Amino acid sequence: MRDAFSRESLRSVSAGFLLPLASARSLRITVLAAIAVTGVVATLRAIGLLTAESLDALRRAIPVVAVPIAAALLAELPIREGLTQRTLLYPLLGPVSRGSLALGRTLWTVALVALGALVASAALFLMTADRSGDWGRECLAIVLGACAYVALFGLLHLVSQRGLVSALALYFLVDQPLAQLPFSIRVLAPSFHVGSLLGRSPSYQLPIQVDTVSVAPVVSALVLLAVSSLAIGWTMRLFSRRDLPELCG
Amino acid sequence: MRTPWIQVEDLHLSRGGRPVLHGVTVSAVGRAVGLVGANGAGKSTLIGALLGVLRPDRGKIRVLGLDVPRDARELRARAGVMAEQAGIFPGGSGVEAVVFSGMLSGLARREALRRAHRALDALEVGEERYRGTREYSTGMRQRCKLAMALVHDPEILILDEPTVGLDPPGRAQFLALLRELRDGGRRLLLSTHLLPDAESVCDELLLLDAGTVGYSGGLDSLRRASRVEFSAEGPGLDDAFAAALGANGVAARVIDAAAGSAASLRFDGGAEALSSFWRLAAERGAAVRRLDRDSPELEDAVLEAMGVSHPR
Repeated sequence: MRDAFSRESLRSVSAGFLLPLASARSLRITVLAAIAVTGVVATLRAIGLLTAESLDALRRAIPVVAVPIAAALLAELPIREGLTQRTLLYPLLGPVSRGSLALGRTLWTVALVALGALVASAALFLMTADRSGDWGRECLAIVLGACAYVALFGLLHLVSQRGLVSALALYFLVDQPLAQLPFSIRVLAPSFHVGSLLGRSPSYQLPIQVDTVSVAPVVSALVLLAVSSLAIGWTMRLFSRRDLPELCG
Repeated sequence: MRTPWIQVEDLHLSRGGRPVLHGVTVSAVGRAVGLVGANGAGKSTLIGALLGVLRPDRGKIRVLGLDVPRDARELRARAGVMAEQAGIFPGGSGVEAVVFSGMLSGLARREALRRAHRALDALEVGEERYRGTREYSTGMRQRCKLAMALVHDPEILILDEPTVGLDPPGRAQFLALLRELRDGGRRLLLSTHLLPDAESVCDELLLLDAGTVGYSGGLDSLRRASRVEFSAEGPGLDDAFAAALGANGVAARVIDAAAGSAASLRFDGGAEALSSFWRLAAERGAAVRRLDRDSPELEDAVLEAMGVSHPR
């Protein structure tokens, strides 16, 4: 692991990720989607159909909706995209281990998702009338959410040819519904912890006594970091052992 | 005695549960080693294993004295690779592609740019270096890929099918470039299925045949070890003479019986066959007017090492 932090290794990993980025299909799709959403929001705001409160709600949706969807799209970048576009062969032939390559490229993708979400959130924050909300906490939720979702979905993209579909299915059919349940099992869902960081754990008035645990934000932050570390570690291990017939035919 | 720079011992490697290399043992000392074999013989897999990109099931690999895969990262820092499967850096110009490759080797951008221009100059790539790589001809693309492999000034160059798709003049130019690099002191491992390419550049050959080593050693040794044919001409070298040679264990055939007094005969073998031929000629009073030793083509020698007869 020491090699991952030498200057040469960082240069190698960064160049291998950043320089071919402009031609990455998943990034193009994400950027086009972001431009489209921005255009719709700006138009609605200009014609007065979007109130300041709606912009607030939109901003608050960024960590819990936009980040996981962007992560599902862009989690292809660390490895899968490089395999299908054959841009990963040169980095693999460089003086960096496969594990370091997977780690570095995943962290760059996290940075990309987090940066995009932070910029969008900052823009909406400046446009809203009420700036009393805890924007710092939102930023933390964005960064840690990006970490967890990119790591998890990156792993899915590595093990499945249909990583995007699997990631979206996991988010919409498992993660989101699980986080809404009024039972302790909801602590297994990353989106529950993102909500917890934002101080928005769902609470219920139920006619029966159930254990609806709430979790302190610091615990949620630690859980999200642990999920990220586990998923990245697993990705590194799998990628290090993979046969890669796509590249070394 | 020269020190081997590639040492492989009992290498076994499976891919997708299918054994691709089994029991490969090689020791290469040549400045330029040709890795030849049919498609699917395991050439690319062996290269992957030598670079530590593919993990062997068992066996030992040492390249430049480094233990692979343990020291694979250090080896890759000292090796330039021109991979067949890799495209050029998509979207950019030639010089950007070479800078990209330099940065992948850990060079800072400014240093990578300086070295990229030096590598492209050495390969005589002019103003074309500023054009998009998508517009490049196959020859220019291969030069650019070679510059990408050379940018960090590696000790060894590993080239996987570098002349595929080149027209004859482009191929000749490219092989001349490789010879210059070899003569300049770099060690080369040239993987190719084109034997004339290996013959033109390499002094040593590693023949892979269905995942095993068919031959490993110098090109001259391979030719010497392979079947040598002699053709002889003169009165008395007729069917009876060929049959007598055959009785002595030397396969012989008359190729021009119509010449009458100056019949031609061809026979296979080495020094012993030649000795039997002279002994028989003396016994039977045959006057040998001409005796030629036909040096085998490399292709014949390789086919023989693979146990395949040449379809003449």
